[in-house]
Amino acid sequence: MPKRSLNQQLDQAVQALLSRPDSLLTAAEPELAPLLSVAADLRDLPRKEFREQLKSDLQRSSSMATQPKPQAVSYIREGFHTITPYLIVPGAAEFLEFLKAAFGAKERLRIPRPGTDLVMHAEVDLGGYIIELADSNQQFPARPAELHLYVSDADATFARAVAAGATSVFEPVDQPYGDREGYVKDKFGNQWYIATPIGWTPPAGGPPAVQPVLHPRGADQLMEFLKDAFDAEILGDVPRSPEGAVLHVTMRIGDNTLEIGDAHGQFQPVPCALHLYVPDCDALYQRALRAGATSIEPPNDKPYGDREAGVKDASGFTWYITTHLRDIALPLPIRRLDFFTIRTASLERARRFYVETLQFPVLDENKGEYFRIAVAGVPVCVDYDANIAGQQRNQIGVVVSHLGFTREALRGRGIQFSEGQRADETWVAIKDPDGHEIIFVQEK
Amino acid sequence: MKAAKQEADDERLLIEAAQRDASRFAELYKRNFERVYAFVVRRVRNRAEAEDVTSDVFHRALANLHRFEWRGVPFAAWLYRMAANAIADRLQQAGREAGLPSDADAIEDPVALRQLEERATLFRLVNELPPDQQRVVNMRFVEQKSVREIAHQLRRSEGAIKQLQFRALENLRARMRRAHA
Repeated sequence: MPKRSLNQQLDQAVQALLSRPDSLLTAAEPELAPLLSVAADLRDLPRKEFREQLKSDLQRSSSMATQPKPQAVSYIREGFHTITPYLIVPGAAEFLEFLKAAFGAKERLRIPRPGTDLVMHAEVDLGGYIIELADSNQQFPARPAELHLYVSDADATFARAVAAGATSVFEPVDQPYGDREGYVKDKFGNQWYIATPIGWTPPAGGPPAVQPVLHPRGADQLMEFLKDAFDAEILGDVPRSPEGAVLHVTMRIGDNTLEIGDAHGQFQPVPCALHLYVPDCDALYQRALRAGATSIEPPNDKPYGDREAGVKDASGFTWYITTHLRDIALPLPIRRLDFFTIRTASLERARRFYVETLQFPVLDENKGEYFRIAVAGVPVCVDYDANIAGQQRNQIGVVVSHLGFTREALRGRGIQFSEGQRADETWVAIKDPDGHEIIFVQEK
Repeated sequence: MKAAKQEADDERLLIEAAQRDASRFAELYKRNFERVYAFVVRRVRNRAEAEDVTSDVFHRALANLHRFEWRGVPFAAWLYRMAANAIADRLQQAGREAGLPSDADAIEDPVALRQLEERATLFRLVNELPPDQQRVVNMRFVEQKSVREIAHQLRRSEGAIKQLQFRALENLRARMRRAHA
């Protein structure tokens, strides 16, 4: 019986513990006290199901991490660093010319928006660092940036930038932090700090030629976000104003750096877009969301061989989180066929045949050299060449809707033809005065 | 001391193995789950938050394992540091300044660490109880069911459930003594 009463007493005390978490541990029998202390700790006992669920989640993540990657390519596209500024500006083609003239940028790639001269995507190399750019539009509104350039001669580069059309904000001066530095704005909305180290020794390989500079309202928040989302590390000290504002900090993500300072005075937020190459786009996208970013675009495979996601952080900066999956030869950005050429020993004879007899329209003509005709909309240049004897003759194939009409039309013009059949087409072929063949085909 | 050194060596080997092969992380999880949970649960408001933070800590640990450098500091201390940061971030995000002990200093306090270790041991020991005692402990303390509800669900008398609860707590108490002897 005493045991039974102990059971009862213990349960009463446990019930009190559970219903009032802050209640004191009390029991009539002193021998119950140690059991109640165990009971008190058991209130925090983790759920078994949670323990197992997390275990299998982690197993899944770790097996994804250890799966051999079939690719031999780096997750960073050739020539890129982890962080690349992506400048979206009105007048990107003109901006490209500015970058070349002002900073000696080399154009790596330019993909026009089909059927236009607008830049869908372009890349320039500036001292071994890449800047990406594109024309702004409704879908991608302008996102200029603040960039810190390290150059060999700040005064000379500053002068070139101003000559190329940039506006001087301040001319190069020796700054207390060991840089000779000037500051310009361009007409596309970008700001450029042009610096040369004078009071410090840059690391082997030189200082970073291009570094994005961010001036958020609330630098601490942005720094925390970058730590949580992208494992960014603070390099060196974080000097602060007497009010606690971050004056300047350099953070490293992957293999390069960016600079952050609290917005103040003329340095107001420029909510730029930055492109990050990371080993696992999906994982970092999720981390960025957990760290407080909002999604612009969930991870998806791009035709250019990258897997890419987009987020915007609480300070308004856009991050394109990308993993390069495979190298893809970019398609040549062709807009239309301009012409192809067949040769003739006699322009006059050829012109009679093509223009007067066959009645192909003339597009343009340079007497004694060539004339161009349109064959079903495709320009064909008939070019004078006195020595075509022994050269390979061309064939021009065209599809017609009715071969019977074609035969009659050719007979009516007194042109000889041959004809035949293949698996799924019948054809009629003629030769021009130089021996080039024109084959009229009717599909079955 | 020898046992402690042996354990430290084992842990080091486990970490190095997991750094080479992420699938070996499961062993580090098994060793440290209760510790991290015990650390987190007293510093957040409820079970859901404790689970969120614990999950976050282990996912971060897995992702950053390659950064862990062995300097004789227990792996658990690294996890506690991550947990403290995760909790501080949550408090900051929620705009809560204080209220709950979120300071990372607790990690350095040997008394707090010993208590933490004891609670982690207790959580592990529950898994070694006979199945019927284990079930009652989980229903009573995790699901916070009344003795009557448990009795109904397990088709036993209320007296039998109270008896199982009593034995389970006694059992845990005895095993704790042995574990920390």
